[in-house]
Amino acid sequence: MKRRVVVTGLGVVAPNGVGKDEFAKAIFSGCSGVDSITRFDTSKYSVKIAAEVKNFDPVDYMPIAVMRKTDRFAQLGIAATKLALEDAGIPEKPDILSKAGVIIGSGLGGQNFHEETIIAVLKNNEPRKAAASAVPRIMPNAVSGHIAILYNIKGPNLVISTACSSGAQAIGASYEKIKNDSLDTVITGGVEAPITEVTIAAYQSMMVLTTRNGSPSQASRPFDATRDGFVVGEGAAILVLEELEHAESRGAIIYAEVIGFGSNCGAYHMVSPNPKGEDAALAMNAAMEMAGIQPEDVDYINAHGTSTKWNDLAETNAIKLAFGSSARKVPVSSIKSMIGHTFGAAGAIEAAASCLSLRDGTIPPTTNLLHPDPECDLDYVPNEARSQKLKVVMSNSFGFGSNNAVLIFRRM
Amino acid sequence: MTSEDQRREKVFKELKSLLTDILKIMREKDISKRPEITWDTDLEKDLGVDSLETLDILNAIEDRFNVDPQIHEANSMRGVREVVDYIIELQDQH
Repeated sequence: MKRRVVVTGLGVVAPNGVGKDEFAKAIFSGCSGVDSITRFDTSKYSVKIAAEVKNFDPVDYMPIAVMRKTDRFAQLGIAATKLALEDAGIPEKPDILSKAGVIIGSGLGGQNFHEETIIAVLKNNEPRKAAASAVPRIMPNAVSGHIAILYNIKGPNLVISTACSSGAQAIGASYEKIKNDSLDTVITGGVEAPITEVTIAAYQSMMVLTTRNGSPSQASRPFDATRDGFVVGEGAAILVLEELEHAESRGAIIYAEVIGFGSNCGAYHMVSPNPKGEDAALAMNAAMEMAGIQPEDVDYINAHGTSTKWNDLAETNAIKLAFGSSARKVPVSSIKSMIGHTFGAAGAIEAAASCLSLRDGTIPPTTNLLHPDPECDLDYVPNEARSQKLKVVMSNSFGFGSNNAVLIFRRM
Repeated sequence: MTSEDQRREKVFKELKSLLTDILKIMREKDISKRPEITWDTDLEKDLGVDSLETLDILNAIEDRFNVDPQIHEANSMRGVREVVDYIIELQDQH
């Protein structure tokens, strides 16, 4: 018999709420986490807004020596891990952790330290200014390494980096590891701290960010005709995935079962999605096939929904291709309207949101959707959350490099 | 205070400032999170200094005090008092 995989713990550190319940309350009430950037001086930037995580002190989640040695991306991940493990009731079970895996998604790694080190060295051509401790602060698997060391987790330890789909790819890989391998527990999710000078500048140059600086909470508007790009966000979400019998035997609370995962590459363009959405549709089809379900079985799609014209149109077309006649019946919404685009964390935060939707029977709204784009003509759950009995939720994530990852969760 | 004591005090103050700088938390303004450094501080036990940070500290000592600290000797040295004495010993050899 196939091994089944369930979600038994959620840890969320998001721009509009820290902790799963605060986050759920925020997304179901349309609360925005977007505001003016406080992390650096934006006076020369055309983009002055982002979704920073607020009310977050790393020292509440880790020893001060670990805080000192970690970039913000790792701190966010360590904090989300602590919340997830506590939620799953695992911290008191060292025997489970010692055999568990850690698989985390991150697109950028320790970008804050990376920039600081580059400035220190290149400013006056002084190689001695590169700290010996720079590498383990910058490397993307700093986050999975610190999580393993802090909690003595000795199974496979990986970081998956596929830009904006990293978090979803990590969860999908973890799901497959439990389903097909001997692993019973994987700590998985996504993390990102991209609100840095160089990262914002680079995305600004790419012309993909909104410059609606005067109205931060209304700046991210997926599927709206007046959108002008996405908002950069930071955050982390960690899910504890467990083999079903393993979870049941210890009396774990089960949020949802992971039943499908589709992962592919459109091999189309490094940053533009295929406007017809053929590749993303194939990923949705693959996930539904793995789950053994039909399009009409999906009750809600948590969209990638970035708030760029290219993504929103390609995703809409992909849903139409994959869902056929049920495309217009299935509600689709994007929480990026509230928390911006958290890159490598996005897929994981949205997976957590999908589990919370299943738990609470509530679909989060796409906020700021006031002028529907005529080319985007699905049900995007505009502006108000919707109470609805949910059994199956699909979560879409797409990344630069034509990378697609689709997860499907089912209420137990 | 003898001149030798004054000299040790001066080295201690410079070492303290150097350690505070290296062991700072990036972009952290809260001064309560700065490392507290006294004569009796144990770098490993009290501040969690690891082998990589030891290298960073040695590099900084080399630049600040114009001495040539040896990693194999420094690795066994964890107390601030010991480090101060080691710097003075190196300065005297110089």
